[in-house]
Amino acid sequence: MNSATVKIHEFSTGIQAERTSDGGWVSRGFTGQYINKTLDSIPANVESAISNREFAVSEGASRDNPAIIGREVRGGDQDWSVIAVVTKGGDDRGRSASMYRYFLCEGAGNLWKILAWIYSQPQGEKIPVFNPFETKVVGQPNEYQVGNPLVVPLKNELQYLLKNEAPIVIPSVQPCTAFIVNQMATEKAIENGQPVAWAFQAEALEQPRSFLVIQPASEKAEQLLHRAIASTPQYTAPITGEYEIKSAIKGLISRENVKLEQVQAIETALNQVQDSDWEVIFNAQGAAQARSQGIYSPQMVRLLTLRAIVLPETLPEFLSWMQKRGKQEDHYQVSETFQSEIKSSISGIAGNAQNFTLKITQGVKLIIPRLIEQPELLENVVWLLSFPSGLWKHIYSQQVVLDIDHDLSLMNPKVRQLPNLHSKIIHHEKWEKLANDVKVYWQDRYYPHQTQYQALAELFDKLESPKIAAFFYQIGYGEVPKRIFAEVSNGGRNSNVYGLTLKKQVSFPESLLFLLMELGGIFVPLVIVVPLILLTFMVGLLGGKALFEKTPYSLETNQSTTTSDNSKGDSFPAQTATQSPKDRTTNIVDPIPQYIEEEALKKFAETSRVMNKEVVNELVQEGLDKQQIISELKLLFQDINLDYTDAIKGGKAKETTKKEWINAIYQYQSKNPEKTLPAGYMLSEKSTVQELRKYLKKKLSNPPPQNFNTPPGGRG
Amino acid sequence: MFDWLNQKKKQSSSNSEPLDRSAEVRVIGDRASGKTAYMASLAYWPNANASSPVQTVTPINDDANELVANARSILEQGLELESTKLNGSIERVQDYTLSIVLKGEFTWKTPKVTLQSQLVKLNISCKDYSGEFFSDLLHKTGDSQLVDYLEDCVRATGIMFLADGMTNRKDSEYANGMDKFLMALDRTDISSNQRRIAFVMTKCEQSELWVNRHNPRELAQARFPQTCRKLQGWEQMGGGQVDYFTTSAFGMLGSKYPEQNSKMLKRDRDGTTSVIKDPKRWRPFGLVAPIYWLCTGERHKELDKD
Repeated sequence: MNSATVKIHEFSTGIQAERTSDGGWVSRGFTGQYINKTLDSIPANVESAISNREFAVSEGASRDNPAIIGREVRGGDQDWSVIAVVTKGGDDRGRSASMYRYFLCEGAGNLWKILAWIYSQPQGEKIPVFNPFETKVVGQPNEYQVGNPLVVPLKNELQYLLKNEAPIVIPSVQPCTAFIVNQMATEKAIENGQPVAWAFQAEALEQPRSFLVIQPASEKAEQLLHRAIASTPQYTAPITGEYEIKSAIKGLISRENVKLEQVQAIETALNQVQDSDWEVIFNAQGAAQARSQGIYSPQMVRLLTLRAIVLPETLPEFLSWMQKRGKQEDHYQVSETFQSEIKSSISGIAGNAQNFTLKITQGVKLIIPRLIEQPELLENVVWLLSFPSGLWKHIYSQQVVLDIDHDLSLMNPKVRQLPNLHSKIIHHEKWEKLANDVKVYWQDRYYPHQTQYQALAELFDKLESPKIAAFFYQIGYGEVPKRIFAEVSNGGRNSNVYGLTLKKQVSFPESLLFLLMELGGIFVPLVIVVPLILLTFMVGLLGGKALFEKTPYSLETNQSTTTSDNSKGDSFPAQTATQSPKDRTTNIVDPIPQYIEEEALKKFAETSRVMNKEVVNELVQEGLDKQQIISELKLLFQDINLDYTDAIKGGKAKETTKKEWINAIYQYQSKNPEKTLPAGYMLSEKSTVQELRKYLKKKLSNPPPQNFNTPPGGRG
Repeated sequence: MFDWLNQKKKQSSSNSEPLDRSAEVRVIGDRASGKTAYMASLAYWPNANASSPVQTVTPINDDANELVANARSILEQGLELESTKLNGSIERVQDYTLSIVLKGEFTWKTPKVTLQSQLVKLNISCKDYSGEFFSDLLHKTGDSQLVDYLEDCVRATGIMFLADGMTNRKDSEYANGMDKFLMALDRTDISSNQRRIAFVMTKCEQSELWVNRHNPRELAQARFPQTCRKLQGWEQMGGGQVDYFTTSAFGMLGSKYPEQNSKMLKRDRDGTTSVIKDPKRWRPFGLVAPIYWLCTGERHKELDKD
C-alpha cells in the first residue's frame, strides 16, 4: 500500500474581518497575530522566513487569482515544506492588502503532498484561499491520504529552460501547472544543492532572486520579474539566521539601553556568519550610506560601533569616520555609552561572550600597528583605548598591553635565547612585520631613528605605558623625553628598556653644558662655567626659540610646560594638561655620567663628613630636630629610602648607599646649575653645603600651614 | 616633524561639514490617515523644486530604499499603497532612516548667523506604525503587543501624529486616543524625557484645507478642537512641545489656479482615499517642515511655505 496520511497544518494573516452585504468580507484592521491556526505556535524557522519576506508578493501586486509560493524551510528543530496561497483582500477604507494563507507539512520534500491536497478539492470548488471565516482549531490539521508522487515527463521546452541559471522564469505563454513548477524547482534544487523554492502565477515578488523557478501570471508580470531580477546584481544566498540578526541589530542601534538577548544573538551569530555576509547586513541598515554621507545620528553611530566590533578590520575606518564630523562631538558620547552598555551586558552572557572578546581583541591588536601607516588616527586610537568604560580599552588594559610588554621583553637578544618562551602577539601579521622591522635596533644601537614609530611612542605615552612608550620614543625620535626616562630608568640608574639603550632627551643649555664638561672635564673653573650657563639661558629665553623649534621637545620652562593643547608645533605632544609644571620639573632626572660618579665615589668620605657635620649637626646645634632634618633632606633629594645612618660611615658605607647618595646629590645640584656644577659630592663650606643649610633651616623653622584654607592667624 | 598633527588640526577646524541634527520619530495616527504615503513621498521626494530649501533627501537603510521603490512602483503608477500590516513584534516594524540636507539660507536681510543660514543635515529614523496601533490604544489595555509598542515610543525624541484633515468628525475619537497615548507614554517613560509632538494634518490638497495651509494652528483648532486641547494640556503640564503642520503627499497642480493632484476614490466619515492624478507633476507639500521642527524645535519659515 502506497498511500499514507499526511498532516497539513495551516495559519493565515490576522485581520478583524467584517461580513459585507454581498457575502464577502472586508478587513477592519490587522491584529498582528495569525488567525485560523492549527498549530499552537508558528515554527521559528517558518516565521523567520516569512519575516524575511521570502513568501512576499510585492505590494500592490496581489491579485484576485491566487499566487502560490512554495518553499522548503530548513534549519531549526524541524524542516518544513511550506506553501503560501496569496490573494488580494480589501479593507473598510477601500484599500487593498495581500492576504496569505500558509500550509505546512513536516519535513523537506513534501511540497508535492500539499499541492496534491490543495488540488484535491471536490469538482467545481476553487483551491483553498484566505478566508477569515473558515475557522480552524489548534491541534486539528488537515489530513490527507496521499498516493504516489506524480512525476510528469517535462516538455522539451521546459527541460531546455532548466539549463538556465536560477531563477528560471517560465514564459507566461507556456502552459504550466504548479506541479510542473515544483518538479522543475526540485530538479534545480538538487543540481544547486539548495532548498526548493518556486512561485506559481506570480505577479511580482519581493525577493525574486531567492527562487529557483518562477512562473509569471501574465506577460506584463514576466517583464517586471525579468527587470527585477536584472536590477538585483548578484545572487545572495540567504544568510543563516539573517532575520534574527537584523532584528537584534535594529534593536541594539535604536535604543540607549541594550537588551541582553540582542547582544546574545550577535554573540551566537559571530562564529556562524561570514564577514562578507555581516557587511551585507550592516549595509542594509545604512552603514555604507552613513559612511559616505557622513550621517552621525545616534543610530548610525551605534551601528558603526557595532560593525567595528563585529568586523575588526573596519575599526580604522570607523575611527577615521568618527573624526571627520567637524565641529560637533556628541557622537563620541553616543559610542561611549553604547560600548559601556555592551560591556556590561557581555558579563551577563554565559561563557563570557568569547566571540565578542575575540573580535575586540583582534581589533586592539590590529589598530595599534595601524598607526604606523595612519598616524592621523592617533587621537582617536587614544580615545578608543583609554576612555574608562570602553570595550577596546578593557581588552587593551587587561590583556594586550601585557602581551606587548611580554613580547618586547622577548625581543631582547639576551632573553630570546632562553628556551620555552613564546610570543603572545607577534604572531599577528602586522606585529610580526613590526617585530622584524625593529629588530635592527638591538643589533645596531646607532641605527637611525624612524619617524614612522612616533605615533606609537605618543600612543603608549598617553596610555600611560611608559616602558613601551620609552621604547618607541627611542626608535621613533632617537631619544626619550625626560619625564618618560625618569619613570622607566628607576631614578636614572637604569637606562635601558627591553635590552635597548635609551638616550635621554637633553635640553639645549644642558647639551652645551655637557659639551663644555666633555671638553674641559669637571675641573673647569666655576668662574668660566657660571657666566656661560647664564648666557645660554639668556639666549634660550630671548632668541633661542627659533633654534628649539627644530627639536621635537619643548624646553623645560614654565612657559612651554603650561601649554596643554599642543597648539605649538614645538611643544612636546605627549605632555598632557593634567600634569602640572611642578610635577614635571620634579620628575626630571638625569642619569649621572659614569666619570662623575667615579670621581664622587672617591670623595664620598668627605661628602659624608661634611653632610653630617656642617649640615645636620650644625642645624641641631641651632635647636632643630635631627630626625626632622634628615627626613627633610631626603625629601629634598627626592629619595626617602636614602640610608643616612649608613652614609655617615663615610668610606665604610655600603657601595649602594654611596651611589644612592651620590646620585641624589647630583640630581639636586643639576637643578641648581647656576649655584654649582653637578658633581655628586660636596666640599666643606662650598655652595651646596650652604644652600642645603639655608633651605633646611628655613623649611624647619617655618612649618607650612596645615590647610590652604586656614586664614592667617586663624589658629589663634 | 609634526606635520601630521598640524594637518589634523587643519582638518578638524575646517568648517565645510554641515551641521547635523537627528531625531528618532514614531509616526502614529488612525488607519488610512496617510502615514505610509507621507513617508514614501518624503523618501522619494519627486520633482524637487529648485527654489525649495530642501537640497536632497537620501534613503539610508534598506527599509527606506524599499519605501522609495514602493513610491515609484505604486504611487507613481497612480495606484494605492497597501495598508501597513500590524507586526506582532516591534522589531519588525519598518524603520525608515533618511537624511535630508537643507540649503544654507543666508541673506543680507537677516545677517544674523542662525541654524537656517547654514547647510543643515537632518538625520531621522522614522518608524511607521500600523494604524491599528492607534485604534488598539482606544480599545485594548494591558495587551503585551501594545506595551511593546509603547515602550518603543518612549525611546523616540519626536512623535508625529498624523490625521487626515478631512476626518474632523473623528475629533473626539482622536482626542480620546491621544489622551490614552499620552497617559500610557507618561507611565511607561521612567526617565520623563521631554519630547516633541507634531500634529500633522494630511491630505491638505483638499480645497477646504489647502486655503488654510499657511495657518496650521488655527486650522487644527478649528477642525480638531478637542484633540488640540488635549495636546495643549499635555504641553502646559510640562510633557513637552506641540506644534501644528499641514501637509499633502500628492500636492497640487498649477500655482495661480491650483487644483489638487489627486483622484478621489472614496470619501466618508473615515476620510478620503485618493491616488495621484498626474504622476509627472507630483510635488508634495510641507513634508519636511514637521521633521525640521522635530529635529530642532524651531519652525523653518521657508519650509512652511514650501
